[in-house]
Amino acid sequence: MRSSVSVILSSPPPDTTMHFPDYGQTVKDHQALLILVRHSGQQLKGKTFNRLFDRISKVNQVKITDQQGWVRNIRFRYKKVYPVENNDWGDFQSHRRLLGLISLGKCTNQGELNEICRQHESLKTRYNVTLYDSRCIIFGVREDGTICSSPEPGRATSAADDHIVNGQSANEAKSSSSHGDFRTTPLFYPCVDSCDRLESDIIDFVSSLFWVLESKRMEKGLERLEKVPLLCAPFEKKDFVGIDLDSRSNRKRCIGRAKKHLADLSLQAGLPGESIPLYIAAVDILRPVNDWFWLGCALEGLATTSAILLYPNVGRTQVVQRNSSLNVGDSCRPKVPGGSHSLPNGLDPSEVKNAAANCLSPEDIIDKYREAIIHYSKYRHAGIVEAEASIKATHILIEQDKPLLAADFLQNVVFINLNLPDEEKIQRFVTLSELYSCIGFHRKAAFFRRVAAMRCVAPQNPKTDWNQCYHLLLLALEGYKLSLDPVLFPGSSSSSGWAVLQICLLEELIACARRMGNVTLATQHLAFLLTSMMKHLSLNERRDYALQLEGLAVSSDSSLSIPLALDNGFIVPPVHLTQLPELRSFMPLAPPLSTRPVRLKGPKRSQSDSPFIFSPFQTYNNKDARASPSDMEKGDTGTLDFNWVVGDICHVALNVFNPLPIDLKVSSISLLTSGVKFQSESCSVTVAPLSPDVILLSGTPQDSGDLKLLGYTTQLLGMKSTCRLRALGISGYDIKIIPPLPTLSLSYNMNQNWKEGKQMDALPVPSSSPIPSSEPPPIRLSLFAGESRTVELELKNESVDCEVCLMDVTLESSLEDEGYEEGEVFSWEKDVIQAQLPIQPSSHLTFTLTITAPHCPSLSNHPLMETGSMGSSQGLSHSLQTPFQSQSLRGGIILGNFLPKRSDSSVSMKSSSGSRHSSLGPIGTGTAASLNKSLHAKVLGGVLWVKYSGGKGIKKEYARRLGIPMSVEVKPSLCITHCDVLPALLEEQCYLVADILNQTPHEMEVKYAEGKEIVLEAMDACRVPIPIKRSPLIPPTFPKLGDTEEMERIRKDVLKQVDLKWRIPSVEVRGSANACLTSLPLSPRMLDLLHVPPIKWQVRVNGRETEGDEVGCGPGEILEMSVTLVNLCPMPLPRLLLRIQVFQDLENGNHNYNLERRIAIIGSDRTLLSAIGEHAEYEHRFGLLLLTPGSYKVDLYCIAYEGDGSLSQDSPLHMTVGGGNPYENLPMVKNLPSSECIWRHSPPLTISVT
Amino acid sequence: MFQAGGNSDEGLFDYLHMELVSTLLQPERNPGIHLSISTMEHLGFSSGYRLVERLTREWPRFKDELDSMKFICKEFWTAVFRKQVDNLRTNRQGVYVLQDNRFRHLAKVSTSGQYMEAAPKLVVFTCGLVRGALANLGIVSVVTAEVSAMPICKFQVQIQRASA
Amino acid sequence: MACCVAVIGKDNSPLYIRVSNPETELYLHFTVHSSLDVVEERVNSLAKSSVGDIRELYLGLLYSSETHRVYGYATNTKVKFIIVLDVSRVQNVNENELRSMFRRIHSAYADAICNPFYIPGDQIDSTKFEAIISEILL
Repeated sequence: MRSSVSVILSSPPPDTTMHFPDYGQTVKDHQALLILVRHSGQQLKGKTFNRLFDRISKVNQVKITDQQGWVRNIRFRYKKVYPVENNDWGDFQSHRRLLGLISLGKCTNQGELNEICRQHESLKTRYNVTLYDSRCIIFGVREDGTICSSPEPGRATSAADDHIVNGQSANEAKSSSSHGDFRTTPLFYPCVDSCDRLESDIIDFVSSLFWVLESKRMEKGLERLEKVPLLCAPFEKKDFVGIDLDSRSNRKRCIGRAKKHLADLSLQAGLPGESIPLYIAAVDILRPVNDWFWLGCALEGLATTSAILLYPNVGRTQVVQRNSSLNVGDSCRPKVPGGSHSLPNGLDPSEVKNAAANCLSPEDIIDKYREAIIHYSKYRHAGIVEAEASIKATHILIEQDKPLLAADFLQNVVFINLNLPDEEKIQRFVTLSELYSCIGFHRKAAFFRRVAAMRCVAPQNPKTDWNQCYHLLLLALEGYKLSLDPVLFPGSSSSSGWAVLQICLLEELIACARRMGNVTLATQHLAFLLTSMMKHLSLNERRDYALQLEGLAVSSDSSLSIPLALDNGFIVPPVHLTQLPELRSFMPLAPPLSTRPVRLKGPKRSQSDSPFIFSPFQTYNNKDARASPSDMEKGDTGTLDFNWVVGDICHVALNVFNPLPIDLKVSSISLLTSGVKFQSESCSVTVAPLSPDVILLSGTPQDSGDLKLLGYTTQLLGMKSTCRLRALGISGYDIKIIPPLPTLSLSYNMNQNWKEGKQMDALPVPSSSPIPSSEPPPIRLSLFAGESRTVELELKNESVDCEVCLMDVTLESSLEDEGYEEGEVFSWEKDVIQAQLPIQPSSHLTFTLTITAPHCPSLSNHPLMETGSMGSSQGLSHSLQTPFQSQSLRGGIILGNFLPKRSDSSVSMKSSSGSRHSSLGPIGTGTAASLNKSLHAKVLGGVLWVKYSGGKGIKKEYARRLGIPMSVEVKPSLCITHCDVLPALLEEQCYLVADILNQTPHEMEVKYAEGKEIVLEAMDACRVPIPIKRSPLIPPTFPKLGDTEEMERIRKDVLKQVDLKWRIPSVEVRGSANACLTSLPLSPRMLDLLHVPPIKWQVRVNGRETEGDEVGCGPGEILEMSVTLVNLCPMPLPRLLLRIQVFQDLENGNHNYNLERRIAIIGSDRTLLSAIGEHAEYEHRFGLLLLTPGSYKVDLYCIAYEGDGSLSQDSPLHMTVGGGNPYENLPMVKNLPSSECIWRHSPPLTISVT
Repeated sequence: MFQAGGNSDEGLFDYLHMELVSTLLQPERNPGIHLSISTMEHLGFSSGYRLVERLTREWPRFKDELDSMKFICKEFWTAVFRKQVDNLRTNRQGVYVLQDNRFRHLAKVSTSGQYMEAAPKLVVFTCGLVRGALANLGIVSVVTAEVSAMPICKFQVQIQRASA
Repeated sequence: MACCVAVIGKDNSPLYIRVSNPETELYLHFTVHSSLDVVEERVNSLAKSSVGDIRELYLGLLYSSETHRVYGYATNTKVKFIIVLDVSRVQNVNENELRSMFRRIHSAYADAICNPFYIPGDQIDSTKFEAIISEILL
């Protein structure tokens, strides 16, 4: 709209322009009567003056009834200061005229009274051009005029009195009195507090002003147009000197201006309806004569009047927020009910009726304003008028809700070239920014606030005011979507405004704060800048700010950031350096396995129930959450699946990152907790530039209950900060703290050479966790199978106050799966342990653990081996969590997969080659000897869990588990490859014949029976007979084949008697090989050899007893045989089939039964015996005829014959004279029903025929 | 592939879409199917978001919600599916129903109810597409699809009003 | 010919801003930022005002000072493009010229958006986009 743009801050030549614009002015003020209220005299305090001023200015609208009976609504405007220059513009716009004057003063004596009066008079003279009337309000004077505090009422006062009396009584405006020059009606009030009449007096006063105005209006209205004087604005005066006013155009000028003036007056006189036509007339007159300035004035008047009629409450709009970007909806915009375009409320209809006639439409109002402003802008001196007009227009546009247009007008104000003092310029920018925020242009508003702020400290500004600058900047922040509260900023959205500008503003704030000398404030801002803007800062900026901050913080008075209240009531929220170092993760760590509390009772978790033994994720998780099997059953929720114990040092791992390009020295960082008492140790770390790091925070719970981990506090760059996880968007943790538990430490010694174990320990244990893990050292042994070793375990109670009153030692191993007896391998004295409980603090408990290297499970293969063992021992290893352990175990397993069944060397070699490297890896003894040793050695693993509890913790049913990993390398020693049972000479005895093999690389002495020893070379085998006493039948059981418990019984019986001891002199190791036999298979033959037969045989030949010795006779001679069976056992025998067989032993293992030509049997060679009662006996007689010479044997045996009375088909019972049919015998013997058992008369009777 | 007018790429989009469906949404091929349904939707979202940027380039400013809705039904649909939405209905409370009587991704499928349960897989991408387009036009919405008879597909757009 | 080109995101945070003369950078930042009010107002007032041509994406002159002229353009997706002209260097520029400049920026932006590796809302760093902007800046 503006024809020429001008530089804002350029200074035009000084002249008779107005002193400074009145930004507060609104359209309403056009109809107001201007009254100056001055503070005179020293007695009246400033505050009381202001209070009085407020009271007075409440009287800003008075309804007065004029002669015609119309009620006029007259407005009044009170000001404390009013420059005369502005007053001079009164002709131009009459509302600029100062019509009334009120002095407020207080006096205690006559002198002061006079002084006040004098000041009042001088003011009157200053404004006398325009002044209609004045009042001098004086406090401290009684109604009657006597001065309250004047001690003696003397002459002078009396004089004053009478004057005042008539001054009071006579109610004429001007009173002539003894005080020559004092011509104003004074208003006396005894004191400031009792001046209830004040308002009413003011009303009187202002109405008097109105009447004067009204009269003036009247006479102006009547005055003949021919001779109206030329009104002109101050700067015009010189232009009109000496030009004839009677020229036609000038006449019009005069008239037009006069009309405009009259319009102003009638507007002030409360007749807007009348003023409008007058303005219109003025416009019509002035336009043709090109009196642009006054034309503009008339237009403005017209527009203003219309606006007054349309928008009674214009200019009272509060700040509007519209723009969605500043995310406040239109909701808070004050809407004029019925919309701003329709008839506003609170408007008396009659007024509208007569105004509506030619009142402008909202659009016209703006157009008129625009035009007016364009005209103004042609005059350099009219800047202020123009500025004010623009601002008024803006107010109206705000009312009309036309922000864009409003913006244009404001833009215009910016360009108006005014020569103003700095504070006025600042004032102007502030006003602009307020108006901009009124139309919702918060960015513009912020912009101008900042401009204003910069003006405050501009170099050309003589008196720089950093405080003002700072506060203006604070106001500007909002427009840049910048909030100093770290909680609100940066907003959750990635982009929270305009980083560049925000940083710039913050820098300015910091600079300001420093110049103000408020270092704490500066520090706070700098810290805020550093934390909230980190991601927008370049590396160099980060470094610089960090260093700056460090420097500032030193001089700042409190290193801890607290809310700072500024003197204007604004509160700068505290700032914490949450981004330094930037937190990546916050993870409480479980206590190490050995001290981790577990449920005292609770489902015993078997290794195999987790299907994910081999899953990498599983192990990964375990490494992360450090969840041990015992924890898993509790770890149902996603939360922490472990507890902390009172008195134990607990750890939290922080993954942090240093975003600065310099070393970040965290002088102290410690945990921030709530809930139970927690003593957190602070530590100090230095994080390398731009690199992540792990900080381990530790602390000790003091009391049992729930502990909340809220975050951590840091001290760095000289600032203390509290970093709450919630603020960082990480969820905090709740940890259960359980009552104190004792802690045991393990130490042990083995009575002899365990150097191997030592040197294995020497291997580095890769620690997965940053905590120094206090896992006990594993027990490692290397034993020959059958060798046993004892270990002294000493458990020391480390805790200071709580005793261990419960201890439970269990073994967890995969031995069972591998087919060993756990009990046989590892054994310890339970009672000894129980006996030593409880363990007092710092005392200890010892017990011995006996480890016996087992022989390979049995001579028969165990399918379990491959499948079960691997898994379980794996599970074991990961429960144990010392990778080394698991390795060595695995190594063991690989060896274990090979079972030396029949350990012929070829197989063993294969195995060794297979096992060599794998066994090398874990066991790590590279020497050939050890390699040799581990030829077919296998490693058995196990964990000895010492579960113990005590103190208060035991009441809560918590305990600790101390896992003692054990691994035993078993080297084969003596092994029994095969064994059999042979009958001995004595009937109640037999021999267990064993093929034993020395698998050691050493010479070995084997003692297999009393006084029976042999020496075996390395890898040498031999067969040894071990005498065994036959075991009698135990009633009522009858030996059945495949009846296992019987077999077991026998086996045990045998094992009792076997005592196979070996000794290796070279390494001085002794052991027993009995275990090899534990599962020796017993064939039926062996079984019944091992039995004492239930039948006693008595064989008589020709009546003579034979005790196994040979019987001689001649060929063809009849031998009368009688066989008597005596039932030895205390029960009836089953039915038996007795058989007699004669054969020849060919001494080559074969027997010849084809003797049919050589022998004859008289009587039956077989007979079915009915059951023989206990200790009863039965005799069978027959004759035997041996026809040819030779050595014969008679085999007598009987078979427990189940079945019916008759003999089976294949064995018809009949007499054969001259030898039975031999063909039927053989099969008979061969296919004995295997379910039956045989008792033989052994050795067979021998008969030699000569 | 979204350039209007090109014919060579007619099929390409179909094939690509089919492949997407079969690779992402076949349970036997992809166990985490529920996850990939949303993946698919998100694919649609981002392509819709970007696509609308281009399509509205030469377009006068939208007066209101309905205006942008119409744009989706006409230009957007044409650009993607070579046809307009057949029917747009609204309850004036922020629910719009776009009905396509021959929805391209369903057109090739047998009209019998045989593949009814497969239908969601075929429309999820488009739901995302619409949601993305609207999101970029400043309309936050939830888009659901409903297939009652095979080639016909109804997309329901539920505008999420900013809680003010 | 422009002395500053800016791309402002939906949420009125800069996605891309480039100035020809580094000295004036901060000033231009402020100028562009404070001219956003008008853009918002124009775009939002669309519903209210009955003016027809407001439907055009090109918003015309937003703000003019003695030294600079700020022109605006807002896409349907509420992304704003701002071009600042240096009055001293460019005396009279005709609207159509500006329109075409904006249209070029718009298409460049649309392409940048269609790059699957660009996440909407991030700073734009596409060399193609750069190239086009620098042509406009010249």
